[in-house]
Amino acid sequence: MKSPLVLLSLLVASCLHAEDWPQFRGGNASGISTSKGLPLDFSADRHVAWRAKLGDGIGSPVVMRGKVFSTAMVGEQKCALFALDTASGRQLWRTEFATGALPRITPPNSHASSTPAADGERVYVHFSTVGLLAFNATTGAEVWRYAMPKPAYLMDWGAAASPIVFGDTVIFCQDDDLAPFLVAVDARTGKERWKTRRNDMLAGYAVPVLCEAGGRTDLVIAGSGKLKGYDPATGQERWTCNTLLRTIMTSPVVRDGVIYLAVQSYGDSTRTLKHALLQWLDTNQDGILARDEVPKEFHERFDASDKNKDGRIGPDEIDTAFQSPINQAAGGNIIQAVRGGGSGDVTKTHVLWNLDQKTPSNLSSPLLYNQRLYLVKSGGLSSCYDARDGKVLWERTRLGNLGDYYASPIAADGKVFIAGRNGFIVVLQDGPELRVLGRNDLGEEIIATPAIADGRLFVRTRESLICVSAQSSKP
Amino acid sequence: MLRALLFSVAVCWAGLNLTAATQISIVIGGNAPALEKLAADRLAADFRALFAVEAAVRTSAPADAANTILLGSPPTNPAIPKSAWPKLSDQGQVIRSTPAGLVVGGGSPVATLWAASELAQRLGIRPLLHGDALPVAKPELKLGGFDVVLEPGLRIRAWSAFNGQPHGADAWPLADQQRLITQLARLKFTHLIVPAQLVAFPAIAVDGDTGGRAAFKGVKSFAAPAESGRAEALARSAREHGLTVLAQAPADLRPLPLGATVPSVLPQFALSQLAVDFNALRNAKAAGFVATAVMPGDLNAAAYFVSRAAFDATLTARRSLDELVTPICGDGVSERLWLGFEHLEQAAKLIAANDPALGVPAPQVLLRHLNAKTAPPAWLTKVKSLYADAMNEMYRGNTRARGGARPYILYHAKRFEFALHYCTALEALGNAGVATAQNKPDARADAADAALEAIYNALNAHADVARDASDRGVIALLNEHGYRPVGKALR
Repeated sequence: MKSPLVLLSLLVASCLHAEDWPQFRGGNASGISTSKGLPLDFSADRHVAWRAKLGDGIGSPVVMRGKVFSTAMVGEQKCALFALDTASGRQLWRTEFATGALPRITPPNSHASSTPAADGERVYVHFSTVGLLAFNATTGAEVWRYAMPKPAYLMDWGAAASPIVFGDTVIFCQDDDLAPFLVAVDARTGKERWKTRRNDMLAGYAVPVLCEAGGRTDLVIAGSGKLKGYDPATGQERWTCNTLLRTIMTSPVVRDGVIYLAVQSYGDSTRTLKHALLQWLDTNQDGILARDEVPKEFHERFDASDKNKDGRIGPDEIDTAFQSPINQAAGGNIIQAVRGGGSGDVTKTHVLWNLDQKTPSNLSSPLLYNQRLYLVKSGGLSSCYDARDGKVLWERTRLGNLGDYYASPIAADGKVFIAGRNGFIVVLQDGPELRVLGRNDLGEEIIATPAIADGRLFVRTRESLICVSAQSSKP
Repeated sequence: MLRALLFSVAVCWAGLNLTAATQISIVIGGNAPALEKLAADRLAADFRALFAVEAAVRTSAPADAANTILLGSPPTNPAIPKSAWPKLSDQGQVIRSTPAGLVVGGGSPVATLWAASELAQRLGIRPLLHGDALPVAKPELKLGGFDVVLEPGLRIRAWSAFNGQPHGADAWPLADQQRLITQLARLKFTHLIVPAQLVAFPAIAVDGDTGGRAAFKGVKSFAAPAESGRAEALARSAREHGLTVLAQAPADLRPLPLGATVPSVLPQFALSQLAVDFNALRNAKAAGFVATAVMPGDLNAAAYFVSRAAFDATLTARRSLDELVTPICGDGVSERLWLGFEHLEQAAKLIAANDPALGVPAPQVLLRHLNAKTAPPAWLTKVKSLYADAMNEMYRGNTRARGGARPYILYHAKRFEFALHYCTALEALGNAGVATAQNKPDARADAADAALEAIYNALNAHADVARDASDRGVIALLNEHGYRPVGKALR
């Protein structure tokens, strides 16, 4: 039995750190913080509390109990996890681990692409060539590692999925083009709890989210063609909603038992994977995939698909060569609200509303804030919908900051923060009309979604971690 | 007869394939000229990079001839058997396997440097203008079986890249210039044109709302390097690599543009036409050529062609590209690049025929399309389509080059993407001008929006692969003459 003093300490500690940001986009990947007092007007020189040079990386920072964690490549085959004091930026520890030979990736992806997850005791990191690793949050010592198959991507995009913590398990979804799966491991030991194959999926990067509906919690994952709910205790599939697109790089958000998605996948409803294969992998453009046109990681799969064993995948074989015959998802745009808590195939029963506007991004996830669904895409085109019915509040309206948007919008204190790749962070007033409060130039490329905690904005630029705070000594 | 027999024996000496634990000895003369020492050091570095072997430069021949390279010429290196030495001009080169070792030399010290480069190239290294690319497949380490004698068809091979513009060589810092000189020597250029006075162009702001500013890595303005004595240091470095430095191109030599004939920011090289022009020079018994270059990043294939064609009258542009690309990117890639470059060549010809100044940076370079108040011409749409086709072929090649020199291909892909967006911007500006003339404010606003975004995207696409001052100069110039004034005019 714990003493009252210990209980009091725990209570105090938990109150002190009520604004943690423990994983990609904070609690349940919502992108929302309860923090107050964030500066609206900042720059590389103004309201910067501290700046730490880490190395190349695009994984988001996470914050837990006064520490901010971030990964970076620090050598040719070496990755590091950094722990810094949120207030001062002082490095508390840095733990390096060897990555081995690195796979092919497509810029601007980085090998340090995954966002860690933290639970106060440990920090969990995924690295494509290693698997999952856990580090002691206080000392940085490696606690365990769980080896996983290296993900493989037909188009060489490279890995960028991130783990989450649910109770005492670490959950990770590796949707690649070869052998996609969902796995849960014991957070304390790294021992596998369950593993569920997702054989009908293609490469995707959605972070799993939790949805409480119908008196239970579902683990929900947006994947190729399908939004699926799983039992987080067993990994058993509970329901599927077959309304998604071929390539899912954005993550859903959840509120009051409803799952919201906004995603764009290249092409229209006819553009299945076959079309991408014939456009890009069929390098001699003869309409047939030869074995040497396919990455070697896929040769076994190629051979299995080459039914007539002529060493080529022809028109009769290509439809199902790398895309499941029962999941021929294609391209398009969707903005969708799906009621959670279902069973079996909920495609016709749980979709609350569905829009086909050309407003979602293929990369930047939606933000649901005060019943408004915010989207941003390349060109700084912003859109906003009433989450209750999908009513358009504004669409494809310029934020006044051009360029690409990889980071997802986040929010706190009635403001929405949108980081552009060009290093500007646009601040919006939350509301039914678009109102830009500021465009703040941090001067460095931003791919990672920033984090908000303890009244601070933590921005992971390509090379550095920057803490923006109204309390900084440089107002 | 005896000599021929000896050579036959030597060539057949397929010397013993060497293992990874091998020590390679590169033997030079005790009084070897500086250029031969440089050649030896470079060759040692190449062997280490290619085979992970120990490679040492020494002045006496070891007992193990199988692992020995004899570098220089009989006058500079007594270890080289005279019987193995062919008749060579001062630019001639020989690579010949002999019982005493592999002879690598030239008719002069600089020709020996070129011979060392030739050996590296025959082992798969490709000298690109920004540095070497290693072969995808590790070659077999053997010093036997070589019998190469080369003489140039064109004896003056000059490089000229100074044009007084921020995207010319004037903007390159000395360290980058020296790296380029190293590569020009690898490519057997003989002359470097360096004006006595380098141009210090006005600085261009690249902070704040600047398209493609990631290329500047936080620097707030783009300016000519503030390095005193840069021209002198450059000339010294060139001479150390065997290049003759001239303040201006000799009047009797014809320029051979490797890319556009004007200082365009667009990729406009034309390999097939280059081969035609080159052959015309050779047929006219010209003394040589002055290769003019604006954007070196675009010009690897062109520079490689003139470098190799100068010693091989049978070389075609297509074969040259195959020989450049396949060792460093793998099979199936050069076909895509060739197709892409053919699209590019068509685009370049259309630009030259219709508007040679289309990509020449000047204050009105973009605004004139807005002010013309005429619909974009059909040829411009065709140029845009050709750039798109060229870009797609680069991405296909990039996909195929799995373990190879992807950055080389990606550079072209992004440059063509830049050109595609640039053309989109010109079209949109034309449409905005027409809408203005027709008093259609909504149409004008839409076109203006599209134009600004396209310019911005063009600059960002280029910034993704910017690696030298010419790249950064293009981005700075197009902010100065394009993105900012157009934004001001349209807003």
